[in-house]
Amino acid sequence: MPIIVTLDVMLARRKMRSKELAAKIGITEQNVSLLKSGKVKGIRFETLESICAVLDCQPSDILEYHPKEQ
Amino acid sequence: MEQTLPDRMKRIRNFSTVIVWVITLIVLISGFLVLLLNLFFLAPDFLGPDLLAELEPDLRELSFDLEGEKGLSISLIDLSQMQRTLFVAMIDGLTVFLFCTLWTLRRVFVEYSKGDLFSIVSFRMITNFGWMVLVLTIAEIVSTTLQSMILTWNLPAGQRQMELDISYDDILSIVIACVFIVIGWILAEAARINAENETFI
Repeated sequence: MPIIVTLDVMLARRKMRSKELAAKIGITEQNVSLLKSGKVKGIRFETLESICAVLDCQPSDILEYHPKEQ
Repeated sequence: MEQTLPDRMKRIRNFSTVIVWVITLIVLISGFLVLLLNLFFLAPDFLGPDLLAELEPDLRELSFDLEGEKGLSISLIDLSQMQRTLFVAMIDGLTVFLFCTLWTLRRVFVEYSKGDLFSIVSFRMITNFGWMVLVLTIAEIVSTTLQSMILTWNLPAGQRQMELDISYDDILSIVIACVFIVIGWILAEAARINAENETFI
């Protein structure tokens, strides 16, 4: 998928562990792990808002668009 | 008073469990009666003289009134062995298909009794149930024609009949079956969308 989730990079910058993020935004650690690996079909605005609030970042800090090479 | 979700779920589960047992009992009792009918017509010696004598008055009343100009009424007990065999085979076929239809409905309620209201399996079963009711209704219409042919086969030429009967109930059954099929499709699509939504975090 051309959308790359860079949540792991942001977590490393903020020196926060997945478990801590999961607890703060109210989702399971397994779902954070799925999100980090990009194995999800989508992310709710509500979840995105919580992540941005907790990590003090913008959506563009955790999502990147890399168009497929033709 | 407004019902809470757990109350409603509990009610659905309890009601479904009762329906599962009712369908199971209907299938078992009907199966036993059809087995008795088979034994009576195809292997009367198996039942023994006492039981046979006890059942005979009731079974003699099992007659088929054919429509038509002369309004023929034929008792099953007066048929030849060949006619009995064909007739009972047809009744058995329809009964087995009816049991399969009821069993499909039972599977839907088994899912509901487990609290699994939105599973794709139960929605597929609803669609299957609709198809089975549709086929059963058409089979019943065809069987009426075949029954009239089998029952009047040994009558002299001119008295034999071929009856084609499509009643209001048949049409209603076909409409209801179509509604079940479409509702099953719609619910299956809803379940697919729900499953897709669950992959969103």
